[in-house]
Amino acid sequence: MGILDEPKLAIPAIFVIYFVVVGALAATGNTYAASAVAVFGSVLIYVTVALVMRAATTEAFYVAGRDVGPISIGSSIASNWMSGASFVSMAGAIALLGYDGLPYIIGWTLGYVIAAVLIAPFVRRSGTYTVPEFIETRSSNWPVARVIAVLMLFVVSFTYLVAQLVATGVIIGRFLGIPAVFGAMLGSLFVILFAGTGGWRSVVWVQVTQYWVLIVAYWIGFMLAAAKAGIFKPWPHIGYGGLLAQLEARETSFGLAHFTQPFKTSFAGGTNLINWILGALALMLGTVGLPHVLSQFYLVKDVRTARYGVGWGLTFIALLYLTAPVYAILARYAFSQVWGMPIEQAKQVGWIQKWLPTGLVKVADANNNGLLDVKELSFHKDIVVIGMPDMWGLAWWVAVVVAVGGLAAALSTANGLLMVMTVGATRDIYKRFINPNVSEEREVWVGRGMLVLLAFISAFAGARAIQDPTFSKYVALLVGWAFVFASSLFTPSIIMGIFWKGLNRYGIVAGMVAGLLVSFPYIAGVGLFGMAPIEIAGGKIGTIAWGVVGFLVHLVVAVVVSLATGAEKANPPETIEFVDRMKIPE
Amino acid sequence: MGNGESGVSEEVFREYWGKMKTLTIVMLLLWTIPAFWMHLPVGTTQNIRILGGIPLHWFSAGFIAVVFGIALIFIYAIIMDKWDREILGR
Repeated sequence: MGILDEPKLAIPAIFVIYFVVVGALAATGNTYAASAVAVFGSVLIYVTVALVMRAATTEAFYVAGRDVGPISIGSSIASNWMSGASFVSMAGAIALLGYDGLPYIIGWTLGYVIAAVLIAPFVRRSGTYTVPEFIETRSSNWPVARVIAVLMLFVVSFTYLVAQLVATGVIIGRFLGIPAVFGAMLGSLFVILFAGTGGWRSVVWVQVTQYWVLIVAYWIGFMLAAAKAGIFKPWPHIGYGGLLAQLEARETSFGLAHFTQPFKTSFAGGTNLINWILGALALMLGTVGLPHVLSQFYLVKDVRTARYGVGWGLTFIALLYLTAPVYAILARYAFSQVWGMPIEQAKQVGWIQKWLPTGLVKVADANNNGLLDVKELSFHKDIVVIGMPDMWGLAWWVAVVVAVGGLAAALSTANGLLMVMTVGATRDIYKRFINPNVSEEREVWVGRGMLVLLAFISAFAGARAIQDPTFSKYVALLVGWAFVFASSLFTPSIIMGIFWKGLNRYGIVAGMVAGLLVSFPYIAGVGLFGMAPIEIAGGKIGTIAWGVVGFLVHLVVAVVVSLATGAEKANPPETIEFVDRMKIPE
Repeated sequence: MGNGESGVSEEVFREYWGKMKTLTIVMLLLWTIPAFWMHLPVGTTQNIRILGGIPLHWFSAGFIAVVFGIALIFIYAIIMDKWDREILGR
């Protein structure tokens, strides 16, 4: 393959070619061609990276050869974690919810502290290849535990992946004017190209590349808007006090409660401080039980890298998550500028005029007073990031940069999810239960086959979700609930499995079952069937916040059942040795 | 551990693991600050303005808590790294 065998040459070369071609097209003034080439060309960069990093061993396919360093795994952890929704919708969700949306910020970050201290170094040292394998080994080689874990992995990863493909379809569709369904199909095809070449080894390096693309893209739009808004005092993240004061003055003059005022609205169907805190905690506890999050800890070079890598991972995640609240304020300030404007004049405002046809912004003079009242301007949360370049009058190419970044975010998470499912299907099902004596070469080919099959199934589901709002609603609900399932089904047993030798297979199974029985009826009842949520101290407990209850029930049941069944004595010597081995320094 | 894999004696390992457990518990307790305690006095902090007009409750959840978390991970990694080197005699 010539140049593709030289990573240090091929990767910079493709970047240079990309910038030269896109720059040349932009210079000729052909903005549509430049945009299209910028968006699709970015995919070509990722394909190049995947090809350069291709490999055919099972060690490379399953765990990237276990040789990824701290900064690289940090970037990969971050882009694996931050989905298209984080990129496109996070700032918008905060713009809509204000303080009540901040559980997302702390909930989707602080779980990594638990991962760094309680999980990542030990999982790396366990010598297993997958989370289901870890659970089976820890429950004294009980295959049923592995099957439950694989099923859980599929449910969570699949719904997540469908959501990513929908985001990919919408992004490609919106910027290039092609149907979103077609975009979703293309998205899954791209992912096959990235992952089919070398499994995790290709995907992890593609994710590293995608992280830097997405974060640079996010920051370009943000910094330019921040400069226009004059919040470099001395730096946007700490300098927006003055802008916020102006926004609040507008809010007061229109008789609105301040945007930052707590508990005006609900979070996942719950209310008040108690739901806010429990919701954030459930997201944290769920994060560390999600299979695609845990899978990254298998790829690192050593235990030391696992510890530092999680630190870098959270740092890189924070570059986006700590920017989102400021982004939200910038957008809300722009919204506040059109409040009270004569309706016809408002419709002529650049960004409203541009985005009105898409339905992301709606303007309606409900009371026929000729003015745009606050309630008469409604917006979809995605407009905050996507429409920002227009709101603040930035150059046309900023919107293209944002599209490239959003695509990178959606694809990077899709890559990881598809790989987790592929490894689950190949190693945890095919090799474990169907053909344990498979040759290495054949195993990698089976993996590639599984990958293509899973990509097609999820592309079909993604297309369905775009066309069918009901199906789409269930996908969105499941993505939110994944955290509840993860925290009630996996997190307690994984943590206790590392730190307490007394946890035995009976405890693990009883804990998982109890966690499921406590979490599922509640979230289905409250989330789907309109059951009234439980109230504690005047606050309603929403579906996500309930994850903490599932976690605690699992924990208590697992401890009680383990103790009742002989605790440590019920574990064979291999299991005790497995636990000990995870703790030895290396 | 007696399996000779890392050449660490049972006694030294026990001491290491004891220290490590204490550190883990301390880290988890510290983690409850950004994850929990910091947000409880929201009734008071929403009236406190810092940095020229940002309400403290908002800044705590939207900035300080996460930076706190990052610091915890790196502190843990540095301490553990030092202990690992000591026990392995490097």
